Amino acid sequence: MAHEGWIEATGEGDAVVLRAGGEWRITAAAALDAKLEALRLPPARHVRLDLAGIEALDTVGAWLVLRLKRGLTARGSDVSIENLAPELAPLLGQAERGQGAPPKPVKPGYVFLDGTAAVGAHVIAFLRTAAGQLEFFGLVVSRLGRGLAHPSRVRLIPLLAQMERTGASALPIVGLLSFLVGLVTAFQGAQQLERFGAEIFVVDLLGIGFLREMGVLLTSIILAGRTGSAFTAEIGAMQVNEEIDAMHTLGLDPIETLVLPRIFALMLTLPLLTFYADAMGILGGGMLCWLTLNIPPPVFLSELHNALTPQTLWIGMIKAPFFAGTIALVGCREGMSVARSAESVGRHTTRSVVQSIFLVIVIDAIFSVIFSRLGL
Amino acid sequence: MPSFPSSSPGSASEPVLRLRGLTTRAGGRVLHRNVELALHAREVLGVVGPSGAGKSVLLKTIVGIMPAAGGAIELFGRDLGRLSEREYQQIESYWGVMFQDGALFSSLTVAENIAVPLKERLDLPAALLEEICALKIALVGLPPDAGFKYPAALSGGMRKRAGLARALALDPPLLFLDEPTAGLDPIAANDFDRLVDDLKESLGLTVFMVTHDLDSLVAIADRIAVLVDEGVRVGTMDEMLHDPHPWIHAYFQGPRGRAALGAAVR
Repeated sequence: MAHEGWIEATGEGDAVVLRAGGEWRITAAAALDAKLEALRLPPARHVRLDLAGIEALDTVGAWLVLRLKRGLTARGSDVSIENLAPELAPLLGQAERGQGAPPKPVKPGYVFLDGTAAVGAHVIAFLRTAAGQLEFFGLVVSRLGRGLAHPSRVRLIPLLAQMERTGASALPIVGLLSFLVGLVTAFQGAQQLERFGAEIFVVDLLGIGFLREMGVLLTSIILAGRTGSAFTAEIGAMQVNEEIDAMHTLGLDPIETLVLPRIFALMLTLPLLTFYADAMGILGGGMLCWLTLNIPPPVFLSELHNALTPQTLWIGMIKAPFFAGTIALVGCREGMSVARSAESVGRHTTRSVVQSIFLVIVIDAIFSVIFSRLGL
Repeated sequence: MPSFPSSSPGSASEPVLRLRGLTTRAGGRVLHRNVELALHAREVLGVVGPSGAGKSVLLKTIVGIMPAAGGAIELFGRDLGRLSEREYQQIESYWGVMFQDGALFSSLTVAENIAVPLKERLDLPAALLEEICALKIALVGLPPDAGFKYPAALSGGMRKRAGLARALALDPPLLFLDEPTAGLDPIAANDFDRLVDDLKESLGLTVFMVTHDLDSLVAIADRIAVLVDEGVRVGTMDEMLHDPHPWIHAYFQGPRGRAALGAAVR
């Protein structure tokens, strides 16, 4: 068993002898570093580093020896290394290459200006994102035109596969959540309306609320989290793996092969899912009405019939393809802008979800303004 | 704490690594059956074999990424399968592994990559830690400012060097290299061979090198292990040249083998 590394100073005046021994290895580096730090040497013309006692040495130990020697030399001492076992000598030669930690590249900092610059950088980044989004949108539209002119170029199998993944397999979660939200809405609405003896208007609340707003918003937000993020991660992983570059070289257009099927798939499935969410929400609310408010299904249905017009449904449904296009566009674009690192995939996936939910709500607000101007 | 021989030369007369009847299985197929192999101190063992012979599987089994289907792996005479969890964690710092493309953590800079094992196992002062990282970067021949770069900003050869620096972070006596020269241009491959040889000599390393590269084998391998027919044949280059096994013959006597050997003779 090797001994703990040690170092001691003997001699005085102009000739100091530093004797080192034991185990000079990385496991002892922290202790040795502290011992070297604590070593107080009188300024001496000649220092002899006697390493005869060193039993084990590795590159870190060699570096510590060398750093000591350099420190002493810088102080003006004349340092000689002696008695190192010959087979350990090459290690010192390797450690010679070490130059200490290079200074970190630092940028000059100014408290006020840095803050201002950060705001500016954010604004520019935001505008860049918006411009990039617009550019990507344009690119997709131009490919879309080509796809519509030559329908045979639209890839049917990937389209169907995407529809299954974005639509059919989302049915359980969309259904469950809509049902529960319908239930809760009816319950909360009934509590308030009860005070006016107007429980029956829960049906109106539920029908109009779900058909116009809640069904499509709920579905879009679920799909932004579920499908938009999947688009980004899939395309991003392909980007990391240089698969997108490979597609370019093989004459495959990534927009046409990856992006268009995803956008079409989502634009086709989101309206269907919205209708399904509307139905499930009303079903959930209806259940609650029947079980706790004593509104039996026939009454519920006739009230619903009075409350709703086909227009109510269409106002909700018309928004679905727009939301779908937004989610798919953002998801695909973020995937395309992934850089070659695992961290980048994560960052863009987060951005994809945040951006698409944000945009869905903004677009919904714009629709509300338009509909109110139209008096709908 | 179990005591293992240091990396200092001359301390280990027994093999650094010994496989006793090792059997590995991947995807339901036996890749190696009863492999016997000994790796001596300060030796470079080149491991070759046809594609799919399980070179990487053997490496991954030895370093514990994949389970062995049978047999024993001994490091400095101690059976790895019989170590307690703590002892095993201890012994893991006795080897460094360089993966094929460096396998650097892409979200960390090169210096931070090298610091990962150091921080994980040791409690070093920050200044010393930075100095050690800088030293390792210099050891593998990277420029000092490479430490601040992210792996994505490095060329393939630099990534391999950075991977080697991380593998060497804890100064392990045993180094595993997976295809160290694959994907490098001949000059860079040559430089890398020289670097490994140089480090082996000065740091007293024992090297287990999986490779395809005949030039590497000629340049730095002391012995060669050929994985064929679920087994292994070990010998010097000279012995390999006279081995009648058809694959070994084709490998070493093929046009590329002759070219590599011819270049070495000249």
